[in-house]
Amino acid sequence: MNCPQQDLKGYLLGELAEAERRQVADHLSGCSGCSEEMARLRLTTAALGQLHEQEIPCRIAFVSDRIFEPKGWNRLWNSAPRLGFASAVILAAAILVHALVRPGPTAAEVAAMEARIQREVASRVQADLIPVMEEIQYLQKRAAVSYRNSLYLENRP
Amino acid sequence: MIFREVEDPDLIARTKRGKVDAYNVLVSRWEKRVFNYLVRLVGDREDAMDLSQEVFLKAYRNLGKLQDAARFGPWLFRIAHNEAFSHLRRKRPEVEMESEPAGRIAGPGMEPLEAALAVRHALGRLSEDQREAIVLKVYQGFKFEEMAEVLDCPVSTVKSRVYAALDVLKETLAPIDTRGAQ
Repeated sequence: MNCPQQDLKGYLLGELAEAERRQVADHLSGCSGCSEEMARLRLTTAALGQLHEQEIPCRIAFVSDRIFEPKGWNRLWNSAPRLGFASAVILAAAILVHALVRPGPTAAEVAAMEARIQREVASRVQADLIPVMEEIQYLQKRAAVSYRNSLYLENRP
Repeated sequence: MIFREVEDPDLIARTKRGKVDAYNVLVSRWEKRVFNYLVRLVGDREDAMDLSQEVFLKAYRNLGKLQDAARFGPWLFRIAHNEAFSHLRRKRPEVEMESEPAGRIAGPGMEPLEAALAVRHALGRLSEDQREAIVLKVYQGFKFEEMAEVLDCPVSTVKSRVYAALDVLKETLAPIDTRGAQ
Protein backbone atom coordinates (compact mmCIF):
# COMPACT_ATOMS: atom_id res chain seq x y z
CA MET A 1 0.00 0.00 0.00
CA ASN A 2 1.48 3.33 -1.02
CA CYS A 3 1.15 6.70 0.68
CA PRO A 4 -1.58 8.75 -1.07
CA GLN A 5 0.11 12.08 -0.39
CA GLN A 6 3.14 11.09 -2.47
CA ASP A 7 2.86 12.06 -6.14
CA LEU A 8 4.58 8.95 -7.49
CA LYS A 9 3.13 9.29 -11.00
CA GLY A 10 4.27 12.91 -11.24
CA TYR A 11 7.70 11.80 -10.09
CA LEU A 12 7.81 9.02 -12.68
CA LEU A 13 6.67 11.32 -15.48
CA GLY A 14 9.13 14.10 -14.62
CA GLU A 15 6.44 16.64 -13.82
CA LEU A 16 7.56 17.61 -10.31
CA ALA A 17 9.54 20.67 -9.29
CA GLU A 18 13.04 20.01 -7.99
CA ALA A 19 12.15 20.32 -4.27
CA GLU A 20 9.17 18.00 -4.59
CA ARG A 21 11.16 15.53 -6.65
CA ARG A 22 13.82 15.30 -3.93
CA GLN A 23 11.18 14.85 -1.28
CA VAL A 24 9.59 11.92 -3.14
CA ALA A 25 13.02 10.38 -3.79
CA ASP A 26 13.82 10.53 -0.09
CA HIS A 27 10.46 9.01 0.74
CA LEU A 28 10.95 6.14 -1.70
CA SER A 29 14.21 5.13 -0.09
CA GLY A 30 12.41 4.46 3.19
CA CYS A 31 8.89 3.29 2.18
CA SER A 32 8.51 -0.27 0.87
CA GLY A 33 4.86 0.24 -0.17
CA CYS A 34 5.66 3.29 -2.32
CA SER A 35 8.77 1.56 -3.72
CA GLU A 36 6.64 -1.39 -4.78
CA GLU A 37 4.07 0.93 -6.35
CA MET A 38 6.86 2.81 -8.15
CA ALA A 39 8.24 -0.50 -9.46
CA ARG A 40 4.83 -1.37 -10.94
CA LEU A 41 4.52 2.05 -12.53
CA ARG A 42 7.99 1.73 -14.05
CA LEU A 43 7.08 -1.71 -15.37
CA THR A 44 3.94 -0.21 -16.91
CA THR A 45 5.77 2.57 -18.75
CA ALA A 46 8.48 0.11 -19.83
CA ALA A 47 5.75 -2.11 -21.30
CA LEU A 48 4.27 0.88 -23.13
CA GLY A 49 7.73 1.39 -24.60
CA GLN A 50 7.38 -1.96 -26.40
CA LEU A 51 5.06 -0.25 -28.86
CA HIS A 52 7.56 1.48 -31.10
CA GLU A 53 6.95 4.38 -33.43
CA GLN A 54 5.76 3.48 -36.90
CA GLU A 55 7.49 4.74 -40.00
CA ILE A 56 5.42 7.16 -42.02
CA PRO A 57 4.31 5.47 -45.29
CA CYS A 58 5.41 8.38 -47.46
CA ARG A 59 6.58 11.94 -47.19
CA ILE A 60 3.72 14.32 -46.65
CA ALA A 61 2.89 16.10 -49.88
CA PHE A 62 1.65 19.23 -48.19
CA VAL A 63 2.59 21.31 -51.24
CA SER A 64 -0.87 21.05 -52.65
CA ASP A 65 -1.89 22.66 -55.93
CA ARG A 66 -4.59 24.60 -54.18
CA ILE A 67 -2.04 26.43 -52.11
CA PHE A 68 1.01 26.74 -54.27
CA GLU A 69 -0.30 26.79 -57.82
CA PRO A 70 0.31 30.17 -59.51
CA LYS A 71 -2.48 32.67 -59.51
CA GLY A 72 -4.53 33.26 -62.69
CA TRP A 73 -2.51 36.18 -64.01
CA ASN A 74 0.73 34.41 -63.16
CA ARG A 75 -0.37 31.26 -64.98
CA LEU A 76 -1.25 33.37 -68.06
CA TRP A 77 2.08 35.15 -67.91
CA ASN A 78 3.94 31.84 -67.80
CA SER A 79 1.87 30.19 -70.52
CA ALA A 80 3.17 29.34 -74.00
CA PRO A 81 1.57 32.28 -75.88
CA ARG A 82 3.18 34.69 -73.46
CA LEU A 83 6.02 35.59 -75.81
CA GLY A 84 3.76 36.25 -78.77
CA PHE A 85 1.34 38.26 -76.71
CA ALA A 86 4.13 40.38 -75.25
CA SER A 87 5.67 40.92 -78.70
CA ALA A 88 2.35 42.09 -80.14
CA VAL A 89 1.88 44.51 -77.28
CA ILE A 90 5.39 45.92 -77.70
CA LEU A 91 4.92 46.30 -81.47
CA ALA A 92 1.58 48.07 -81.06
CA ALA A 93 3.10 50.37 -78.48
CA ALA A 94 6.02 51.17 -80.78
CA ILE A 95 3.66 52.06 -83.65
CA LEU A 96 1.58 54.26 -81.39
CA VAL A 97 4.60 56.05 -80.00
CA HIS A 98 6.02 56.55 -83.49
CA ALA A 99 2.75 58.03 -84.73
CA LEU A 100 2.53 60.42 -81.81
CA VAL A 101 6.16 61.47 -81.69
CA ARG A 102 6.97 61.80 -85.47
CA PRO A 103 6.81 65.54 -86.61
CA GLY A 104 4.53 66.47 -89.56
CA PRO A 105 5.86 68.03 -92.93
CA THR A 106 6.23 71.83 -93.23
CA ALA A 107 4.33 73.93 -95.86
CA ALA A 108 7.45 74.29 -98.01
CA GLU A 109 7.96 70.53 -97.96
CA VAL A 110 4.34 70.01 -98.97
CA ALA A 111 4.68 72.51 -101.86
CA ALA A 112 7.89 70.91 -103.06
CA MET A 113 6.28 67.50 -102.84
CA GLU A 114 3.28 68.66 -104.91
CA ALA A 115 5.56 70.25 -107.55
CA ARG A 116 7.55 67.04 -107.76
CA ILE A 117 4.32 65.05 -108.21
CA GLN A 118 3.14 67.40 -111.01
CA ARG A 119 6.46 67.13 -112.80
CA GLU A 120 6.34 63.41 -112.54
CA VAL A 121 2.79 63.28 -113.89
CA ALA A 122 3.68 65.60 -116.81
CA SER A 123 6.70 63.57 -117.80
CA ARG A 124 4.64 60.36 -117.65
CA VAL A 125 1.96 61.97 -119.84
CA GLN A 126 4.49 63.08 -122.39
CA ALA A 127 6.22 59.74 -122.39
CA ASP A 128 3.08 57.63 -122.64
CA LEU A 129 0.35 59.74 -124.32
CA ILE A 130 2.22 61.45 -127.19
CA PRO A 131 3.02 58.21 -129.08
CA VAL A 132 -0.59 57.16 -128.71
CA MET A 133 -1.81 60.51 -130.07
CA GLU A 134 0.59 60.27 -133.02
CA GLU A 135 -0.66 56.76 -133.78
CA ILE A 136 -4.24 58.02 -133.72
CA GLN A 137 -3.42 60.93 -136.10
CA TYR A 138 -1.68 58.52 -138.46
CA LEU A 139 -4.68 56.18 -138.53
CA GLN A 140 -7.05 59.12 -139.13
CA LYS A 141 -4.96 60.21 -142.14
CA ARG A 142 -5.02 56.71 -143.58
CA ALA A 143 -8.78 56.51 -143.08
CA ALA A 144 -9.27 59.84 -144.93
CA VAL A 145 -7.10 58.71 -147.88
CA SER A 146 -8.99 55.43 -148.12
CA TYR A 147 -12.31 57.27 -148.13
CA ARG A 148 -11.11 59.64 -150.93
CA ASN A 149 -9.91 56.71 -153.04
CA SER A 150 -13.22 54.89 -152.66
CA LEU A 151 -15.16 57.99 -153.84
CA TYR A 152 -12.88 58.24 -156.80
CA LEU A 153 -13.50 54.63 -157.85
CA GLU A 154 -17.24 54.97 -157.49
CA ASN A 155 -17.39 58.12 -159.65
CA ARG A 156 -15.10 56.76 -162.38
CA PRO A 157 -16.95 56.33 -165.69
CA MET B 1 33.19 27.68 -37.18
CA ILE B 2 30.20 26.48 -35.19
CA PHE B 3 27.18 25.42 -37.22
CA ARG B 4 23.87 25.94 -35.49
CA GLU B 5 20.89 23.89 -36.52
CA VAL B 6 18.06 26.09 -37.73
CA GLU B 7 15.44 26.26 -35.00
CA ASP B 8 11.71 25.85 -35.56
CA PRO B 9 10.96 29.55 -34.88
CA ASP B 10 13.46 30.51 -37.62
CA LEU B 11 11.75 28.16 -40.05
CA ILE B 12 8.35 29.51 -39.08
CA ALA B 13 9.50 33.09 -39.64
CA ARG B 14 10.88 32.18 -43.06
CA THR B 15 7.68 30.33 -43.94
CA LYS B 16 5.67 33.42 -43.05
CA ARG B 17 7.83 35.35 -45.51
CA GLY B 18 6.76 32.92 -48.22
CA LYS B 19 9.71 30.50 -48.18
CA VAL B 20 8.04 27.18 -48.96
CA ASP B 21 11.31 25.26 -48.54
CA ALA B 22 11.46 26.32 -44.90
CA TYR B 23 8.01 24.83 -44.33
CA ASN B 24 9.12 21.61 -46.01
CA VAL B 25 11.93 21.32 -43.47
CA LEU B 26 9.46 21.97 -40.67
CA VAL B 27 7.14 19.26 -41.98
CA SER B 28 9.99 16.76 -42.24
CA ARG B 29 10.78 17.36 -38.56
CA TRP B 30 7.26 16.84 -37.30
CA GLU B 31 5.52 14.51 -39.76
CA LYS B 32 6.52 11.25 -38.08
CA ARG B 33 5.39 12.41 -34.65
CA VAL B 34 2.08 13.71 -35.96
CA PHE B 35 1.49 10.52 -37.95
CA ASN B 36 2.17 8.30 -34.93
CA TYR B 37 -0.07 10.41 -32.71
CA LEU B 38 -2.88 10.12 -35.25
CA VAL B 39 -2.43 6.43 -35.96
CA ARG B 40 -2.76 5.69 -32.25
CA LEU B 41 -5.91 7.77 -32.02
CA VAL B 42 -7.75 6.67 -35.16
CA GLY B 43 -6.24 3.17 -35.40
CA ASP B 44 -5.78 3.11 -39.17
CA ARG B 45 -2.59 3.95 -41.07
CA GLU B 46 -4.30 5.20 -44.23
CA ASP B 47 -6.68 7.43 -42.30
CA ALA B 48 -3.77 8.68 -40.20
CA MET B 49 -1.79 9.50 -43.35
CA ASP B 50 -4.69 11.43 -44.89
CA LEU B 51 -5.26 13.28 -41.64
CA SER B 52 -1.56 14.10 -41.33
CA GLN B 53 -1.60 15.77 -44.74
CA GLU B 54 -4.68 17.73 -43.75
CA VAL B 55 -3.05 18.79 -40.48
CA PHE B 56 0.03 20.22 -42.21
CA LEU B 57 -2.09 21.92 -44.84
CA LYS B 58 -4.22 23.61 -42.17
CA ALA B 59 -1.11 24.51 -40.22
CA TYR B 60 0.33 26.21 -43.29
CA ARG B 61 -2.84 28.14 -43.95
CA ASN B 62 -3.10 29.30 -40.34
CA LEU B 63 0.57 29.84 -39.55
CA GLY B 64 0.00 33.59 -39.51
CA LYS B 65 -2.26 33.14 -36.47
CA LEU B 66 0.50 31.46 -34.43
CA GLN B 67 1.57 34.17 -32.00
CA ASP B 68 4.43 32.38 -30.22
CA ALA B 69 6.61 30.40 -32.60
CA ALA B 70 8.15 28.58 -29.64
CA ARG B 71 4.73 26.92 -29.06
CA PHE B 72 4.54 25.45 -32.55
CA GLY B 73 4.48 21.84 -31.29
CA PRO B 74 1.43 22.10 -29.03
CA TRP B 75 -0.27 24.33 -31.62
CA LEU B 76 0.33 21.74 -34.36
CA PHE B 77 -0.92 18.90 -32.17
CA ARG B 78 -4.01 20.96 -31.32
CA ILE B 79 -4.83 20.94 -35.03
CA ALA B 80 -4.09 17.21 -35.20
CA HIS B 81 -6.33 16.60 -32.17
CA ASN B 82 -9.22 18.46 -33.83
CA GLU B 83 -8.74 16.57 -37.07
CA ALA B 84 -8.60 13.21 -35.31
CA PHE B 85 -11.75 13.76 -33.29
CA SER B 86 -13.65 15.17 -36.26
CA HIS B 87 -12.67 12.00 -38.11
CA LEU B 88 -13.73 9.78 -35.20
CA ARG B 89 -17.07 11.56 -34.94
CA ARG B 90 -17.70 10.97 -38.66
CA LYS B 91 -16.85 7.29 -38.31
CA ARG B 92 -18.50 6.84 -34.91
CA PRO B 93 -20.94 4.01 -35.81
CA GLU B 94 -18.10 2.00 -37.30
CA VAL B 95 -15.81 2.62 -34.33
CA GLU B 96 -18.46 1.62 -31.81
CA MET B 97 -18.73 -1.80 -33.40
CA GLU B 98 -15.14 -2.45 -32.42
CA SER B 99 -14.67 -3.82 -28.94
CA GLU B 100 -10.99 -2.84 -28.87
CA PRO B 101 -10.25 0.12 -31.14
CA ALA B 102 -6.55 0.11 -30.33
CA GLY B 103 -6.37 -3.51 -31.47
CA ARG B 104 -6.80 -2.27 -35.04
CA ILE B 105 -3.45 -0.56 -34.83
CA ALA B 106 -1.75 -3.79 -35.87
CA GLY B 107 -0.35 -3.60 -39.38
CA PRO B 108 2.82 -3.48 -41.45
CA GLY B 109 5.80 -2.27 -39.47
CA MET B 110 4.40 -3.28 -36.08
CA GLU B 111 6.25 -5.56 -33.70
CA PRO B 112 4.88 -9.11 -33.61
CA LEU B 113 5.96 -9.38 -29.99
CA GLU B 114 3.63 -10.59 -27.33
CA ALA B 115 4.34 -7.52 -25.24
CA ALA B 116 3.33 -5.19 -28.06
CA LEU B 117 0.05 -7.06 -28.45
CA ALA B 118 -0.54 -6.79 -24.74
CA VAL B 119 0.12 -3.05 -24.85
CA ARG B 120 -2.32 -2.57 -27.72
CA HIS B 121 -4.91 -4.57 -25.80
CA ALA B 122 -4.29 -2.50 -22.67
CA LEU B 123 -4.57 0.80 -24.61
CA GLY B 124 -7.84 -0.49 -26.04
CA ARG B 125 -9.28 -0.64 -22.53
CA LEU B 126 -8.82 3.09 -22.04
CA SER B 127 -11.35 5.75 -22.92
CA GLU B 128 -10.51 7.94 -25.91
CA ASP B 129 -9.53 10.82 -23.61
CA GLN B 130 -7.29 8.63 -21.49
CA ARG B 131 -5.66 7.00 -24.51
CA GLU B 132 -4.92 10.36 -26.07
CA ALA B 133 -3.47 11.59 -22.78
CA ILE B 134 -1.12 8.59 -22.63
CA VAL B 135 -0.11 9.02 -26.27
CA LEU B 136 0.72 12.69 -25.75
CA LYS B 137 2.54 12.11 -22.47
CA VAL B 138 4.34 8.78 -22.90
CA TYR B 139 4.81 8.55 -26.67
CA GLN B 140 5.09 12.24 -27.60
CA GLY B 141 6.77 13.47 -24.42
CA PHE B 142 4.69 16.60 -23.90
CA LYS B 143 4.58 18.31 -20.53
CA PHE B 144 1.21 18.63 -18.76
CA GLU B 145 1.13 22.34 -19.59
CA GLU B 146 1.64 21.67 -23.30
CA MET B 147 -0.98 18.91 -23.24
CA ALA B 148 -3.44 21.40 -21.77
CA GLU B 149 -2.84 23.57 -24.86
CA VAL B 150 -3.31 20.63 -27.21
CA LEU B 151 -6.47 19.43 -25.51
CA ASP B 152 -7.78 22.90 -24.65
CA CYS B 153 -8.52 21.96 -21.06
CA PRO B 154 -7.08 22.75 -17.59
CA VAL B 155 -3.79 21.18 -16.50
CA SER B 156 -5.66 19.50 -13.63
CA THR B 157 -7.88 17.68 -16.15
CA VAL B 158 -4.85 16.52 -18.11
CA LYS B 159 -3.21 15.27 -14.94
CA SER B 160 -6.27 13.34 -13.79
CA ARG B 161 -6.65 11.68 -17.22
CA VAL B 162 -3.03 10.57 -17.28
CA TYR B 163 -3.09 9.29 -13.72
CA ALA B 164 -6.36 7.40 -14.23
CA ALA B 165 -5.02 5.88 -17.45
CA LEU B 166 -1.84 4.76 -15.70
CA ASP B 167 -3.92 3.01 -13.03
CA VAL B 168 -5.83 1.08 -15.71
CA LEU B 169 -2.67 0.22 -17.65
CA LYS B 170 -0.83 -0.83 -14.51
CA GLU B 171 -3.48 -3.44 -13.74
CA THR B 172 -2.98 -4.98 -17.18
CA LEU B 173 0.70 -4.47 -17.87
CA ALA B 174 2.50 -4.53 -14.56
CA PRO B 175 2.48 -8.33 -14.26
CA ILE B 176 4.16 -8.64 -17.67
CA ASP B 177 7.89 -9.31 -17.66
CA THR B 178 8.90 -7.14 -20.61
CA ARG B 179 12.50 -8.26 -20.36
CA GLY B 180 11.50 -11.58 -21.87
CA ALA B 181 10.06 -9.90 -24.91
CA GLN B 182 13.16 -8.02 -25.93
